[in-house]
Amino acid sequence: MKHNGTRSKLTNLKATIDKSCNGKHTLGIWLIVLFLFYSSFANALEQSDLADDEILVTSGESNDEIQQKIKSANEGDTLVFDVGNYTLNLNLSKNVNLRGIETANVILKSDGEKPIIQVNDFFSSTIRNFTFIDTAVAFNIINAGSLVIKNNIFRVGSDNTAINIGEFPNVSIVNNTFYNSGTAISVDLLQPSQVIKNNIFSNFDRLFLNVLTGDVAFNCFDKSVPNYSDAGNNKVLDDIAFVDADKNDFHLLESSECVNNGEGSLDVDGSQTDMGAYGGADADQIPFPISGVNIVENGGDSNVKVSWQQNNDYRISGYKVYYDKETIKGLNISSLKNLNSTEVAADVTSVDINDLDTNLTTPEAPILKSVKPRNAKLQVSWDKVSNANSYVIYYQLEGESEKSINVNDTDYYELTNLINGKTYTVSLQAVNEFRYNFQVVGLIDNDGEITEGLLINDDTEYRNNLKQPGSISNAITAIPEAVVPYPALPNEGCFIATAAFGYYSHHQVQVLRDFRDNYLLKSTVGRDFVDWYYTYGPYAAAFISEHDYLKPVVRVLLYPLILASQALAYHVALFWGLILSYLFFSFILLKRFGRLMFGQCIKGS
Amino acid sequence: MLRILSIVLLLFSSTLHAGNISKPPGFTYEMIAGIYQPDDENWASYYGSQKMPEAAYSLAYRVFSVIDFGMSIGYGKDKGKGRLPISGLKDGDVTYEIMPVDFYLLLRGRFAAGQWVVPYAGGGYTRFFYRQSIDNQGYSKGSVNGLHVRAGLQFLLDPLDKQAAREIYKNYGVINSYFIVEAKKTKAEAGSPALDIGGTSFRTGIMVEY
Repeated sequence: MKHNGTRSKLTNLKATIDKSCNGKHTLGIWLIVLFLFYSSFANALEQSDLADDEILVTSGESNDEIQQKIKSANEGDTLVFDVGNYTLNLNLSKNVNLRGIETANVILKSDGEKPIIQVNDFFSSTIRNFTFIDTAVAFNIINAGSLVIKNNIFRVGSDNTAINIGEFPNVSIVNNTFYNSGTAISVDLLQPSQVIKNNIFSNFDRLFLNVLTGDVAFNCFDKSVPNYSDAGNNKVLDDIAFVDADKNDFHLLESSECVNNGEGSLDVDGSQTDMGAYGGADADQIPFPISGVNIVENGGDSNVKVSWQQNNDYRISGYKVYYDKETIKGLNISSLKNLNSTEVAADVTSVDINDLDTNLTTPEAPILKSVKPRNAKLQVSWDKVSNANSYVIYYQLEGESEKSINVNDTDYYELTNLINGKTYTVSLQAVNEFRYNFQVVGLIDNDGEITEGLLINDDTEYRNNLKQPGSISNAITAIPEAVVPYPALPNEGCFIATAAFGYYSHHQVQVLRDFRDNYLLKSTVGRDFVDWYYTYGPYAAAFISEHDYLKPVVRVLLYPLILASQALAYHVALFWGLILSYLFFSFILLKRFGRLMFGQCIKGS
Repeated sequence: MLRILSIVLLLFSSTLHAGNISKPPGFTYEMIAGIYQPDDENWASYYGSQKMPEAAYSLAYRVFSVIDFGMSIGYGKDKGKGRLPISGLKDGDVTYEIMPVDFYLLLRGRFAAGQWVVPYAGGGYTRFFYRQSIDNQGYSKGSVNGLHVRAGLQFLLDPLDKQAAREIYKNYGVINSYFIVEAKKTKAEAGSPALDIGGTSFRTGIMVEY
């Protein structure tokens, strides 16, 4: 459909050119035409897995954008939702189908109390391969013609309703898994022509809100569900035997009685249909993502053992392990074909991979672009170099030993907890570390047609101590310092210090401001203290300002706090050591002073 | 000269009487926006240009048809760079916000109901609030006393749609609506040594009389 749309855009544009351009600006407009043509071609390549009447929807798109796609789709088109989380309140008032790429990982929820999908006044649509979670009502169906809801998982939460049906003469709710919700299906008026079959109902407070008169058969009920019915070939089981419901894996174990006991269309492998979201001809055949991938050294730098948690889906025929020095996540199917991989059988959960490439090319020296001073920080940026997957930043305070910090494959880093006003020398080294990325996917074999699981969002990375550092970059010196806004206006904070030291931008006052911003404001107690200080501090400050003889006294009293605040840049223990020492010596001095002043009077009296 | 005088007389004369709408005393409400140009001539080198957007809301009490007492709250915001005194660099993202609160007296040259153009001038006390936020470093804030003067022209909108003017009066009690064009000068100094943080505003907006 998107091709037709583009073609019509092009036709309209050409007509516009013919009508109005008369040769002027023709080159520019034809460039736009070429751009549009190229865009549509590139788009088509990107979506090459989709049929002509399918439109891709990605999780980055907003509800309004998806709604617009429904609006602009042709009758009978299918919106195919990519893996991801969606927050939706869609109004489906058109004969457009909705399909998820992978049932377990196309997760829909509602924004607020509105249903995820509102179905109104239309004739025919199929909605399949989604997981509906945490919403008051997943489906609200009113006065529509024909609707098929199949191969979905409903996990909407207690007190909520999965499907609410109003006036609806023809609905088929087939091969869905309803789990852990308030009401599975609420029916105002269910017609005899309705079909509710091959579903699994588990862990529910209430199955149906009103009396069902339709064809309710070949469903699996968890025995804990009240009002279940074992009529019409429905099954009532002690345990449905999901693979792992807590992890949203509603595939079935081989032992489940819901396997091969459904009715109607056969499963993809040609067997009798299973009940639940993964049964029937339209069930997704993509294995659930593999978890628990772990890699350990296995006798030498180039040998590893990869292990993972078994996928107990009875359909799993084996596993495939991909590994590469570069990132694997996000690669498309054609790129995966070029990667190193190894396949093992379904009953195997680990594999030895030997002879990984340990040759590490030496990266060239990076160029340190800038070292920007900030408050107790330096912002370091550089140009990334090839053959490097990490960097070491070296920084040295004048007169002290050099420190270093390892950072990942990035071109920016902030060195923090530095001392304002001190000169630091910064340089950089690119490093090529031995790293391999791994992904393990399950395989399902349907008569020789193998379906692989999708890649997960994070590769499992393996590193050892092998590394090849490059030459050191240029060095840049910089002095961390606080940014002073322009114009430097008085702050209502640090009133007492400002009054005692005479002006707002005094270095010692800045130290106390830094202490406030970097430490006090980061804790509840600290913020309470700042609030209290801001309430009463100005009165003290005003008093100090009016009495010049107090200023040196307050300065002396503040110096230990300033010193301790500066010590925080080194270590928090140093800060508390200085504060406690100060309090201790103050106590001793006060005691001596008190004895000197009042001791003899007391004795004399 | 005679021609100019004729035009002025025409503008200031009562050319329209939009119903029985002359009802002083009462309230006036203004929404006004424009640009604020700080007097500090170095402003542009830190903030990119010598101006920032500003908006203000005013509520005034009309004692007579020619005198308003009122209060106005404005807000302006600019983003730019700060200073690194030791390094001598201009760097670090700084957001500068101002909120001048004005208490003013305005004299309006409104001599007849339905006068098309009303010149006005006035001024008063300003409490000039400011706040400077430094990226990843916190903020400083404060307020100082100041003064301001403002002058401008109010263009009566009622003649453009007399029916609408009557409806608005009937439904909402609005006697007159004006389009405003004005200039405002604020003088405020902060810190020691004193830094001039005042500036000049050029603004347009809408004023309604109740």
